[in-house]
Amino acid sequence: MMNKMALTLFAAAATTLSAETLDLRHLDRLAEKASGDVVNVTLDENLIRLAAMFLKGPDLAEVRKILPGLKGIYVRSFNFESENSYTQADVEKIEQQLKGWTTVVEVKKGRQREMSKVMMKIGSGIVVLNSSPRELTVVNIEGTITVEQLEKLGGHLGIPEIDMKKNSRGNKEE
Amino acid sequence: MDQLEDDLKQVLQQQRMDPPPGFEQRVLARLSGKAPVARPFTAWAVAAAFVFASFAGVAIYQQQKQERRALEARDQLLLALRVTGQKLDVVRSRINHNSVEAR
Repeated sequence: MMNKMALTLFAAAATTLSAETLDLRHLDRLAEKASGDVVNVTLDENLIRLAAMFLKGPDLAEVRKILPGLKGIYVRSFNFESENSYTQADVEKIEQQLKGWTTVVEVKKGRQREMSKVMMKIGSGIVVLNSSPRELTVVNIEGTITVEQLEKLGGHLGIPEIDMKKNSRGNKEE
Repeated sequence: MDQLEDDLKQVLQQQRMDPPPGFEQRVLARLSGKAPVARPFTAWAVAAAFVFASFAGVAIYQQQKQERRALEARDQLLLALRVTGQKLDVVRSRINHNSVEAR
């Protein structure tokens, strides 16, 4: 049996949602169904400022640069042993909140139920939505962060080098 | 006058008595067991040191608590960025995979 790691930090902070923070509370029930790692990160602006005090070292320089503009980081990631552990409605509930956001990248494989989306809204942040039959991940980086800044993070903390401009749009396949 | 003094000395010397045995030891023993007299300055200094130590203890505890929170937050931040990186990697590989399929 795989180790189950639930990382919940200051869950109370999740209850106070600002206008642009995604409401991900409907995903909380999935933690019980998950078989692999469950990542649940809720960092509001105050906690980001606090964390910044301990981000030292030249390898974290790029990370430190993006922090002043951030208002929140919210991550929910679940891995499941069996398929259909989450429903399409779970994904749609997130997508409904992203109306008005610009889709930077969208990749879909309908039959295999694989979907990846990178969406952004100026001043609101970036959302990465990744789903496959046995995995569902939502990353909501709230605040002023650009695709360029994400690109600069390439190579840091395992964040890969990405070229969103090159790969954006025109790649959508269903 | 001299005669009177001489007579008085003689009488007093005749009346002189030695202290009872153990008198000296008893006096010294009582003196050594006696509590020292507390001086006001010492008492205030002790009280001030106690108050200072209490405040310093609370301040150190609060600072350590804040540091623990900050370190937890930092770990969470780095975890969040790692997950973001991994998922962006998945996005990229899916794009590449689809691009190859489309050719």
